[in-house]
Amino acid sequence: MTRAPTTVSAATATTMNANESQGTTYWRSLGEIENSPEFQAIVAREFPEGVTDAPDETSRRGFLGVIAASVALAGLTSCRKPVTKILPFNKRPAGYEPGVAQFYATSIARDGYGIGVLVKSSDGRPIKIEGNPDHPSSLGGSDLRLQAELLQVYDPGRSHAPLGPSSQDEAGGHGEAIAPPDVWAEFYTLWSEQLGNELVRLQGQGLHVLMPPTSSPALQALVAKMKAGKFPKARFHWWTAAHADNERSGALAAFGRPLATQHDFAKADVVLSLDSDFLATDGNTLRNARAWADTRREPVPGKKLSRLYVVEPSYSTTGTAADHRFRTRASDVPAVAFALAKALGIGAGTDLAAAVAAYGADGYTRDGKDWLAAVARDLQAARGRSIVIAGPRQPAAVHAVVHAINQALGNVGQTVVHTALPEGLQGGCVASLQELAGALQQEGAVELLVCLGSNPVYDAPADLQFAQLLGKAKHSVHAGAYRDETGQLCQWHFPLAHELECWGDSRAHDGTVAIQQPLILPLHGGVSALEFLGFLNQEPNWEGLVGARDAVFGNELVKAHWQAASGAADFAGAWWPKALHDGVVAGTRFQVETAAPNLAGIAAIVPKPGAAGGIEVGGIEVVLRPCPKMGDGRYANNSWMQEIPDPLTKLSWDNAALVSMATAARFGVQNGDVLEIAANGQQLRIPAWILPGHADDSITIHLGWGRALPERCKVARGTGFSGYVLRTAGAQWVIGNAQVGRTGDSYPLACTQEHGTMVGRAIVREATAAQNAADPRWAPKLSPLDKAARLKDPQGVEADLDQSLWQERGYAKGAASHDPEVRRSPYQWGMVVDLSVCTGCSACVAACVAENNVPMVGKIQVARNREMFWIRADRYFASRGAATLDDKLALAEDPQVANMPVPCMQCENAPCESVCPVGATMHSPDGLNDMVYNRCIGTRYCSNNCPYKVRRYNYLDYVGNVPDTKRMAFNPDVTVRSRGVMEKCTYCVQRINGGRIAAKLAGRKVGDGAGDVHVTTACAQACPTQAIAFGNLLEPTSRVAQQKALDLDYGVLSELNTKPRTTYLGRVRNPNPELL
Amino acid sequence: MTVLFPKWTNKLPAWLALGAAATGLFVVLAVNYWFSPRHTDVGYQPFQPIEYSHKLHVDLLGMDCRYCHRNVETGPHATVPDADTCWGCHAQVKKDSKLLAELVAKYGNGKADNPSIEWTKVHLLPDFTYFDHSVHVRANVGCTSCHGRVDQMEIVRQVEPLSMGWCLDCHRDPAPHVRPPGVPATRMDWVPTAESIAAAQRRLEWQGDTPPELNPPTHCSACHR
Repeated sequence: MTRAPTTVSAATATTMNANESQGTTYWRSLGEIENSPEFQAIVAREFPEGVTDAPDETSRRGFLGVIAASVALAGLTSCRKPVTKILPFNKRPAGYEPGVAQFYATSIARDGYGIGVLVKSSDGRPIKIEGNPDHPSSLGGSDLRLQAELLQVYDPGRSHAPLGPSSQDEAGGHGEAIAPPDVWAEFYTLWSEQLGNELVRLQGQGLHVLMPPTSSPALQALVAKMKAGKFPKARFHWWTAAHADNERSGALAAFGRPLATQHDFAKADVVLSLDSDFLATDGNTLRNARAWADTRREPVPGKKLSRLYVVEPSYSTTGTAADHRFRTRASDVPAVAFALAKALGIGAGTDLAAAVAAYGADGYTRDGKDWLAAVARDLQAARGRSIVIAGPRQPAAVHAVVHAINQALGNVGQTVVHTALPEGLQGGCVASLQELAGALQQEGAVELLVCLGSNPVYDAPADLQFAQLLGKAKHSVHAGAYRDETGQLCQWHFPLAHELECWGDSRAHDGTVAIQQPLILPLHGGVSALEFLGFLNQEPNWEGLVGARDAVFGNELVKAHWQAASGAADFAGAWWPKALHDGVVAGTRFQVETAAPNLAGIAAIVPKPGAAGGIEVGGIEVVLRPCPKMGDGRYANNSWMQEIPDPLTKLSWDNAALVSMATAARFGVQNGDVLEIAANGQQLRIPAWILPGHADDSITIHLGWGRALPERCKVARGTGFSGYVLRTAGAQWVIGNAQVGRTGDSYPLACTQEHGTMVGRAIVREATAAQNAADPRWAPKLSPLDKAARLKDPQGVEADLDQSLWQERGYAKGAASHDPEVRRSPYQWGMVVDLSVCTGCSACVAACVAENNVPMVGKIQVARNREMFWIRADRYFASRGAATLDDKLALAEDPQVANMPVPCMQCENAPCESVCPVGATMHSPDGLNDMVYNRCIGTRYCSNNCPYKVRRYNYLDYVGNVPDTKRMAFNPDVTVRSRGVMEKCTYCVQRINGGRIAAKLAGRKVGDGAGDVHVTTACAQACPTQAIAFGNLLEPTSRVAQQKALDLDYGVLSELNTKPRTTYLGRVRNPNPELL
Repeated sequence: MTVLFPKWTNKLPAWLALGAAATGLFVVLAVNYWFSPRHTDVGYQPFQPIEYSHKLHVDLLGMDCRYCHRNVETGPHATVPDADTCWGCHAQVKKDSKLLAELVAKYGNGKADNPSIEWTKVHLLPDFTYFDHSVHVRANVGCTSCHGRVDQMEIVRQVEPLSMGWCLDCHRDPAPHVRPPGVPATRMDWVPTAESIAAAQRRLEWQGDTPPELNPPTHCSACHR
């Protein structure tokens, strides 16, 4: 199924029901296209079915209990307020002020690299994570998983106590016994008196350590020290499920050494992604996203826009940002890469040209146009200003050929540079794990196996059968945040400290060093991997770990390393405090390496068409990808990551086998029908989910789901399906020739894609660069009101059409308003979302959840449309309209995607306010639509009257039974809402008020200027592309005021005269004119 | 023949109606007074673990509020002093007094990790109300406006209702409570004068193109968020 890119026809889309026009249609689900009875029912009902039902059958006993408690409480409330105690410190720590939050710079590891963060600490508790603007791998942005790290600290499912052979519980590994307090002492005795001495005598023979690869210089130095010192024969194995083995092998083939490739998307005019989700899950995503967005934001006519082509099997965040996306099976992407090399004439006359010559560059047509040739021409035209990038799921040959392409296009040194790879990330993960498996298979070869933060029983290739191998080690130790699948099978288990609880260090993708400092003492007596290795190597003061896990040992290890490594004259007085304060160590970036690709070496690994080697796979392929939410599975017990809908599928609390419509029809399944997938002798039962835009004959499964965590991990239990069971050492990402059958079973999936539908109204608005140049005001003109205005006055919107029947407060007029309160207000808050750079990554949703104590409601409640997110990331599919349903569905196989974050619009004429019978929602003079929880009686009239459907109602008491540890994550500046209360986005009024107070104290003002106190919302702060601008509309130089003045600015449903304060910049795509 | 209903019963319905109305009015007024913070909260005067006398320290010894409540100018909480602050003087002064037994027990050995002294909170706002001391002190609203003459109290007691209506009264007409520059917020015996009210009134209004210096908010999200 092929088709031309979407074009928005302003003339046709102005009609109220764009779905019926012959232009582009925007839809959220196939049900919406079909206008199925289920979809009609959702649209027709004021509130979804079942919203007034209680969650479960209430038992009589439970009911009486509630009544009794209510009566008791009623009696108590007639007395005075409860007596509250104030417990001051006996001696308050210097610099600490109760109730005043502080930020600390630290770093959090992602795929072995460090991402610099600033962590907000309130009264000793970390409560919010934000990107560190000074850190090159963050630049201030963050993403779903970075935000989720906060809840990881407070996860009540975390391992609470060490367990030894003598303290194993009887429940077969599940559940956790109360450990005797001396497990550490037992292990100390074993290590210091017996095992340690024995291993030192054997020079480390039989000591195997399994860890995730890490760039941490201190840890790598300690490993080197152990290898050079006491344990020269010890083996260190590196394994992570989300590894970059293919990238590394490709670099080895091309350059003969492992080099890292750094891309500068800000300089690129044309980008081709070969199955690389470089904006969200693969590589240096936060930096990539910012750089790419800088070439696309505020696309006023005349601004040069970059162009993004994406070739991928399953819609990714990067795919949604593409100007042209070509859905291609993952196993067919290499052929595209080789054909492109051929079309570009790479290495003419060399072995490489001969090797790729066998790949036909024909047959890549869509709507009768040869898109591959067009892409090649576009890349040629942008020599030195283009980027070709391959994803980690593509084989080494693709990466190697891409190096040759970038070299030939003159991009190296311009948009693409090569640098050293951090020491710890140079090895191959699969080979390293296979080596460990081989050692375990030899009886008695492994004296001690230490799994430090690794979970091979869950995420290792299935054919290695780690669960069986683990028992062959004489002694096995697991250190992990959870007593996970591996921890349950090891003889010893120690809780691992979270990165916000311990000392460490890291390198960013460009090599910049950051020191990781703890925000809080280890909640459950955890140690860091560095501390554990230091313990094994008996570093100075190692016995201290036995008595107290207070992060002091780790501090000594990191300090000692950098004291030696920095060579600073004044380490303790200058270098160390500055490194901690800044969150980066200046001057530690890697040098740019000059390396020319070896074309003969590349040619050697380019396979023949149809040859084996993991490239050409026939039949149905299964593609495994790290989940944008779960990563490799580490966030499985994180309710935020479970409930926030997947950026593309909008599935909550589950993953699924993603297929195209045609493939689903081939298997005879609908959404939720369970498939049985058999490959490589392994089997998996998983429900199917139709994701429009998916390649045919291909199934995508997000990894990281279906965990078997202990009983206490209540969130993760029973959610999703583990794709790891299909994964083998040979087929890491793409599994060919899968046997797929329908089981006849069905599985309920909670999906939010139809919640809050726009039923055909022009809510999300797009145009091409050419249309934008022809008519810069195309976006606001799509509003019916604007159309009417144009009829009367061709020059622009006629003001009197915006008039209300009653006198408005005139917020926009500021000091000229007739309303005295408005006149006095120096601020009018507003927000603009630039749809051109919104990638739909949902970082804003996670940041809002963390900032505003938004409750999670669980799968059943999500299915009833009771999710509580204050900002939702709407994902619309866009395809050309057609006359018949069959044609519509055919076009829907290959749609484009438009993303749109929807917070409260803070309407100046807010429909919600006029219907509240108790005045619980009122307007503030600075333009906020205030929600007063303590007045709300829960009539839900406001939600009913809200045209944007951004109000959320607490149908149940979602916070009453939140465990104490999770309560620690609450933001103390925001009220925790109870049952029966409406809530909604406040523009983070706590941040606004905090900023206003700070400005008053400092005698300054809140604003965007240099001397001003800066205030922004959590969503705007988190956005990796800075798509959201927030600020004071009365300040003409503020970013938000300037964006509002752009022609592209439009308000959603502004024809209702709601005067929304949140407006959008229409999305401008930059398609290749050749392919239109 | 006896009359079943004597003549006076003609007026009975009217009297009953009047009585009902009076009862209703009484109930409304009673609830309005006895159920309101004016009655339930004002006068609250709990005993504290240490019989600390503000009258002695402030009135007789002349200590400034901020010596102990040291975050009042910089943070939301005025903060109750840590034991170390007390000990700064009492390591020398009246160390053996019986009244200081609790302080000596908790901090006498100088150990910071002993359990804290458990003071009872007197001025308690609901959890959904966010009050910030620093910005009020910055506007030079005197301590006495909300806390009364603490310098005259042996045991601190609540003198104002701290209800929303009471807060709004001042936010709508702050001039009598805003002190002129030069009069510290912590001065206990200051009373507003006609001049001070007029001066404050000027700071609340536009002066030409200059926005008002003082702008006490009265909208919901100023305190509720």
